[in-house]
Amino acid sequence: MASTSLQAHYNLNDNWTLRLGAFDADADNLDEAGANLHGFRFTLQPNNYFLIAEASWNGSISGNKGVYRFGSWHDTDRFPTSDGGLRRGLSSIYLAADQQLYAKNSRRADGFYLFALAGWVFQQNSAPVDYDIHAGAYWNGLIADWDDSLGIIFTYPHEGDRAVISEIITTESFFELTYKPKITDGWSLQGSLQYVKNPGAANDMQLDNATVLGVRTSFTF
Amino acid sequence: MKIYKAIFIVIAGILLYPLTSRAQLLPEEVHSATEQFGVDWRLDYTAEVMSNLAGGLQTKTAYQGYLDLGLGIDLEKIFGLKHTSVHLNIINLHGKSPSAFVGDELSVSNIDGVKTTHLQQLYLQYQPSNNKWGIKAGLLVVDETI
Repeated sequence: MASTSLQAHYNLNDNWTLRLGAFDADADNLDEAGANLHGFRFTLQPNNYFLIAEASWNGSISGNKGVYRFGSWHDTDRFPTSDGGLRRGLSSIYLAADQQLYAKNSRRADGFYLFALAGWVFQQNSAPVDYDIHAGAYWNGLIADWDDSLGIIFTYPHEGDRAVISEIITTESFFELTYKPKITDGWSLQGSLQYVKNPGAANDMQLDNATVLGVRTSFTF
Repeated sequence: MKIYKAIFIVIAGILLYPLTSRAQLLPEEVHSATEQFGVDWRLDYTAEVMSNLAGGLQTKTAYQGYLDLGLGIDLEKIFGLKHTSVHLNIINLHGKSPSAFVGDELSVSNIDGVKTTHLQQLYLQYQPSNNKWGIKAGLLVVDETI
């Protein structure tokens, strides 16, 4: 959700950008308690801060587009540890990449892309999710003039030690196949088929793996 | 006088849209009519039906929707405050969460969330036209990757 914040960016040159952000970290607690249902509660003097810094590169490598981001965040709030204590502060680093590997000659943005986002929290015994991976591949412009996109995505948010109560699996993972054609400017359809491995594992539920079919339509006016 | 013209263009645009053969939902003129007064807006709507075919808690189907109304006010055009603008957006989530019957924690749908109307962002932006640097202050979305 959202909180009181200050954000700035600075472009070093055409390729490199630096970003800094400071957020009120108390807003999370309000949201979790359902005390800020309509978003009107915010404070100008937070007790805890969520600080984030990022460097990104955006350009093209021998004609193929690429975006790379490297960042780090720090949350000054108190977090429970797996041994029953409390710790002040969580820190994380993350890396994101979205790289075109093949460009269609007629329309350079069309073609085959690989992407990945990986994050790692240093305080492994305090983080609800101690590392996560979100990666996949997509093809833009499969059918000429359809402005469509076909993708496969894998998501794995690994549960930290804090969440592990017994030896059972506590991490759910998601495999998704998706196809999104554009009807006109501002109107698209999307179909998705997902396979969820160990759904509910994060809440200590042992359920059969789920197969979920989704259809959506999006309008932008 | 000019404001009536803008309202007229917006309404006429919506009514006449089905007659146009232009390959876009709203004619450009509908947006540029308000932009000339320094007001920029957008309305996004996503409707989704998700069906749990096998596994999870229950095999069931649910509908949910996500409405997002965004407004940008150009303070340079209105008050002459250089490179300064105010932005806000309000979201409305409705329907049923598919995670209630899939049983997953992370959520199988990225438009899922608490079904309510929520002021998501309200901030002041200072952005020199060369885009060399910029700053935002206010209510902003917390994202672990910015």
